[in-house]
Amino acid sequence: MKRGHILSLISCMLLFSFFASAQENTNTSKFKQLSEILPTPNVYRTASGAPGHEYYQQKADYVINVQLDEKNHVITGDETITYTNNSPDVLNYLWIQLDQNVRAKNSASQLTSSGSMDDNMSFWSLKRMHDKMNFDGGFKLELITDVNGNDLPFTVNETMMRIEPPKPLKKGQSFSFKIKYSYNINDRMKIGGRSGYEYFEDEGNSIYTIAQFFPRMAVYNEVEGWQNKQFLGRGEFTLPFGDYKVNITVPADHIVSATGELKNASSVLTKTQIKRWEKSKKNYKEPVIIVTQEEAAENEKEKSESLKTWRFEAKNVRDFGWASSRKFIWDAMAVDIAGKRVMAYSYYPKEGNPLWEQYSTRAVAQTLKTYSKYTIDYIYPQATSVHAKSIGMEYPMICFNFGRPEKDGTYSKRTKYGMIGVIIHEVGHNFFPMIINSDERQWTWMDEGLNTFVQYLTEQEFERNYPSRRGPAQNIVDYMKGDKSGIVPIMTNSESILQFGNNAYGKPATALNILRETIMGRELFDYAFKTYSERWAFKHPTPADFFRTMEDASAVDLDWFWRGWFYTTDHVDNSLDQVNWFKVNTGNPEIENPIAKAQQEKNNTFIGDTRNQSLIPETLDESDPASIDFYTTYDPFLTSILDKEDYLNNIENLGEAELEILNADKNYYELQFSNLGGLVMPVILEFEYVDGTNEVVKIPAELWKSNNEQVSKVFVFDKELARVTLDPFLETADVDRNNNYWPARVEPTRFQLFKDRNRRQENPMQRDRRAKEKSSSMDYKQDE
Amino acid sequence: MQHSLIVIIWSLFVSFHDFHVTHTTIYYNADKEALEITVNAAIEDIERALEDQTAKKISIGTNAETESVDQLIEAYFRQRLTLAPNNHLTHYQWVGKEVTQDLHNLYIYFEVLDCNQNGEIESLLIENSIFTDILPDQSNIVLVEFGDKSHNLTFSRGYKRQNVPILN
Repeated sequence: MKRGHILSLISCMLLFSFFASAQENTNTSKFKQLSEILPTPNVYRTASGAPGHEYYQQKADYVINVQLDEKNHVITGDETITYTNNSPDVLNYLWIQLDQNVRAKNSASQLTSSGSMDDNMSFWSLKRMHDKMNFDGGFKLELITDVNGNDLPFTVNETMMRIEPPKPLKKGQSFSFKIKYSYNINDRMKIGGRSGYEYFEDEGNSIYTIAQFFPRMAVYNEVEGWQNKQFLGRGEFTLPFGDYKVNITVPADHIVSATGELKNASSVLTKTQIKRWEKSKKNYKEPVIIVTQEEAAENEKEKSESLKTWRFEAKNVRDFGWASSRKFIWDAMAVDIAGKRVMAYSYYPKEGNPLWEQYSTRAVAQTLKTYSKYTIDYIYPQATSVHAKSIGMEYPMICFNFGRPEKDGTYSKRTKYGMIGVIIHEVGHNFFPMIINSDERQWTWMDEGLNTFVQYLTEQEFERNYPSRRGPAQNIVDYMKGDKSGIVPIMTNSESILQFGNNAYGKPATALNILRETIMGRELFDYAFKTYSERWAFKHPTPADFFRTMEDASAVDLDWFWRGWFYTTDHVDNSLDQVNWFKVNTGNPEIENPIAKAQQEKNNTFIGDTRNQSLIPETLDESDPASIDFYTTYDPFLTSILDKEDYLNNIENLGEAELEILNADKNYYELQFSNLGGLVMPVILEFEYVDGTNEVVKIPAELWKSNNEQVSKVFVFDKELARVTLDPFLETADVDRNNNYWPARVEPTRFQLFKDRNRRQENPMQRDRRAKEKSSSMDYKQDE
Repeated sequence: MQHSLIVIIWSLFVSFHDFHVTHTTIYYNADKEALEITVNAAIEDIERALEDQTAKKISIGTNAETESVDQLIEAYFRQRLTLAPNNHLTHYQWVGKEVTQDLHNLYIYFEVLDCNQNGEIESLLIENSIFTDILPDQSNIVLVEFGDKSHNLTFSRGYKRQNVPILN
């Protein structure tokens, strides 16, 4: 090889080894600070997680006239949108969301959703497929003009529409324009959807739960630019705040519920209804019925041909929803939130009773109170729960919730708690994201995870032992230990999430619960969580703002926690590998020699030696005494008077501190732990002593700082240990508890526990029956 | 040329009951030489699957539950979840069921006794199509635990058969 070549070869090798070593020297610690991943703080969002001094947000005001055609299930509407640009940027175009277009034939959402056939598909499933394909959904746009009626140039891209104002919009300027449109309302039972109608065949009546019913502005900000990701059906909505005036024209015998406040009650309600409504505004104890079940049942029987217009107004909301039906019963109650009155309303058909009359408005009220306690005081004038089959969906001040008893009025425990749970959850959404207005299209977890967490807190205040679905750490174990190819980190865009419910709802809610109960403690957590809510109420927060605020307001370093729980799919599996027991060697031969001797005897012996003990009847020294000398019978563990003297001399030379340790006679335990799952967590230990007492010690996760995979720690006790349990109170979502015990212990599986419990052949109902029979036969005997 | 049917499905996303996943654990109990099977599934989905098959109203875990429900559940799962240790199709027996604490799901227990009669289990072929007949976005997770080895599998509508090597 020529010299030049050799030189370049060598320099190549050097270069390569330089890079190789550079890679090995990066920081892979689980405690690495998160700032490398989070966006750089700036004038819009500070490093402490608060809005910056130049934070801005856009505003979109709406005046909407909408009409419901009951016979054909069509909505027609016209709206005037006034968009105000508060950003420092000049906007040449504006984006508008056309969510109904997701139901248009051959829409992108239909095409990008993967599907398959099953060999044994049910008829129902096939029919649904056909109905979806055949439905003529989507906005039919008639006119898009400025306020003077001049056409505006526009382009529709599936569920997004771009329009251009005649002049680019500068900071502080507003632009108004009009849109006239119509669309077919979808039958929710047939093809699904967050809004639509439910048709009651035997009556010919429907319940309309209407939302996304108007073209509406997309969000423009310094994080995303225009948030114009297509609406594919899963990631929900990102919307600016604004003021709404909405006029809803429906058949004259419908009752309408909507976001905001009703402004023309005397035109649409009877005198009796108004009187009852006024009464409800003074009742803070129980719901007052404004439209009774008898009245609603009567109302259902005929269909009015005339129309009425209901006028609603709402300030500082990000969206608008409404419901209309001649089947509605309506009840109301006043709720005191920090001295201000908020109205709680429920609208439901007779099919919802008796469950809805008893629980709906009460659940709304409880939700407002608990959420206000943990976040911010609810300042909208009302919160409404509308009964709708098979759905839970939220809009500002109004939500649609399932929970229908059987036709005979009975209901199961599951139906009851399911209904209360969904009402709490959907009303809770008023806080996340209606008020604390995060980007749902991008980060589902910011509203669903946070909301599910506060829902859990609310359920616990509703009833003791409320059967909450999500909250306790153990409930998320199955999801987290699952096949990693089937899960993604929480910080994943909504559209690509696998196992959506667990990822966006369960895992973040559980993570927050763990933060509250185990990592930060309730006091620090509650303060920080409230700080976040107060900072971002009526604003648009991002994940970094949340992560930063929680640390900033509590002085608890959480970067390792956010990184592990939100950015990875690692799970928790910490094991207690070994417990080594040490005592100080007293130096006193009378004490130590017997111990050493016993130790030696306990040690495993070579099999040959054991056999020889019995198989060799007599050794030479046992038969011939002349072969015995000093060393034959020397026992190194016997204590002589000289040994004792030596010991006492040593003691005299010890200092006071050393003597103290010697005389304390403590037990030293070295515990070794491994992190097998990837997530570092606090180490919580329950020590049970030989004398029957116990003690719990909690060590922060920083224990794992020097070595993320293995760590040991020494504990000093007066007493002797009998047992150690790692994570005794099920706080860390540890997926394998079999390696949490010393001495080793294997927990029985759920299967084995079930079998043990059911050795008797009865089920609880049968047993109860037997018990009743027995006690009634006993009563009989007593009567005798 | 006949095109295969391109199925277009817009998964219904409901804000609340939102996702469809069942979780099955297959645990080999070495002492008893038995396979212990635990299935965790949403009661709503079981009821709907059974109603679809029987055209009757089904109630599980309530006072209205009839005595035939256990048999119906067993028959449904026998169809949709099959196990073949060493490629030998094996029936499992009903052990029982119980409602979860949050009232939303059901644990269903099955077992295969004396499953080591023919020597060691070298592989386990699993077919899992639970609820894929009624729900297009159904996922079914199976955790197989043999000794200290465990395998985590995900099944879905187009992907219902997997073979797990037990002895490697």
